[in-house]
Amino acid sequence: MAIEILEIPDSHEERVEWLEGHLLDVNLSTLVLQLAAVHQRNAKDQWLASVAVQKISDEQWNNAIEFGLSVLSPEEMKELLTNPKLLYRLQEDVCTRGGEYWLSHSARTATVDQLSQQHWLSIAGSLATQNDGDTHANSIIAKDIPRHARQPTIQQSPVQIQVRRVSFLKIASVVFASAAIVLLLVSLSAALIRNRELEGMANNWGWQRDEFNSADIVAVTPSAYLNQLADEADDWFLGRPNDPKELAQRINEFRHGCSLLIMATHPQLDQPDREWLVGKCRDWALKLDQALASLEQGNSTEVVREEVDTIVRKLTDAIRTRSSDLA
Amino acid sequence: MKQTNISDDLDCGEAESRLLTEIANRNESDEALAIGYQAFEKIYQQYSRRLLAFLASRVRTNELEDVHQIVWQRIWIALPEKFDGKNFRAWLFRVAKNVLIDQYRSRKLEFAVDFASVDLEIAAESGRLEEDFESQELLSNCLARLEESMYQIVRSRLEGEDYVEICERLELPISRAHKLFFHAKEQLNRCVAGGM
Repeated sequence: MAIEILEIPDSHEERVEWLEGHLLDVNLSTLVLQLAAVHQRNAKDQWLASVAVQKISDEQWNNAIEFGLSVLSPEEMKELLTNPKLLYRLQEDVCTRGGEYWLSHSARTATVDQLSQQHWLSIAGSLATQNDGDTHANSIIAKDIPRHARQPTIQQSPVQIQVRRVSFLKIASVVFASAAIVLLLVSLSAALIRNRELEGMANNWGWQRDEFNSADIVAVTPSAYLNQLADEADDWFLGRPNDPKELAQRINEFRHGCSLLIMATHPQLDQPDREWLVGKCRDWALKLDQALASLEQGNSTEVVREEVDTIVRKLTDAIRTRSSDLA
Repeated sequence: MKQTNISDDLDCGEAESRLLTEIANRNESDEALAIGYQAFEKIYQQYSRRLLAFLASRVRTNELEDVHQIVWQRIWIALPEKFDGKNFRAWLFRVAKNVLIDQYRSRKLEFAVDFASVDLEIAAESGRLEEDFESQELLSNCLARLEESMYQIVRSRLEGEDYVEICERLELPISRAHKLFFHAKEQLNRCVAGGM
């Protein structure tokens, strides 16, 4: 059993997206039950018989149905998460009268798509038996059925396929061009920032702490070494700069720690673990560069800090998971 | 029936109306029947995912396909006579709800709840809930085995609090809270995977 609820994101915006995805997916019931297990530890009969009281105002509820959950405040989101029965009502309202936002919502899961396609085969087959007694009508419909049976996806007309291919090419070109621009910006900003970095920074925390980078760091096992790395990375959360310049400096310092880690020899680790760590460090370094570029493009300090918070959390989770596997 | 070109853009209400008309007029000729069938397929593509999400949280997993099929069969049969032509989506989900009610009535759920005393919404949930309750109980037991500090972090995160708020309230360093959540997650996953 996957514990869906433990994947809940930290930031409000991401939580909104996460919950919207569940409302349009086939696993809402699992999520509701898991949330109930955490918040409402009463017996199942009591829970079933209890009535979810909606404390979110009608106006806000209707706004969410029309425009999505991002209109809800963190307190209103909390109301949904702690009274998960409300999610059934919300899902029903979204399905039956959700606004344009929900109709064009991009959250689609592979499971729903797959089920929809699979079920069409049997539904299409059953239509041929619905025209009681009219064998001629049934044969007109039924002649299409083998076509679907042979091809397990819902048929599309050639026009549709062509339109989608053109769209895909356009999207691919735009994505490619955007990626190239972002990479260029990232490289330029990273180079500038590193130059500034060399001019001298107070950097006595995390992975760039002087004593930390010594190869003879005391760590009894590879697992303990990785745990120590995760603990050091958690130092990120000790400073919470609100000023963009200070945040840029802090990201730079963390980024510098990544460089040191990439170039370190890690004698405490076996070759596969060393390669894993260095590979991961490269990924994280790139993400930190992107966060810096985002800050320099004028994005809000709070948003970028949250982005880096997420990067660091994922990073430490990955290291600790590896450490647990080695233990 | 006069043959019309079916638009691929279902976001447009007019295009959807045309498709629904084609389904409704399918008995006028052989050609109309073929067109009506194609129109039905497009309407299915437009709404089946949302309908599946709705049904999946209200019926048992092994009944989902049957119930989904019954809903679309009823739509195919009833549309020419019973659809008023105004709001197809609302009508589709009304039909779906009626199918669910019929299922519950006919199945006489073996469940420790007096269904006469609870509202339809809860009854509608219960087929699926019954299935999930076992795993919920397992998760509850695993949660009960967490250290109090870990449980507090898990609970707070699932109330939608972020780490900064949690740490201010619990007077914990963020790094500590983060570590506690990580270990709680690991412990819960292990506990649930091992069946305790």
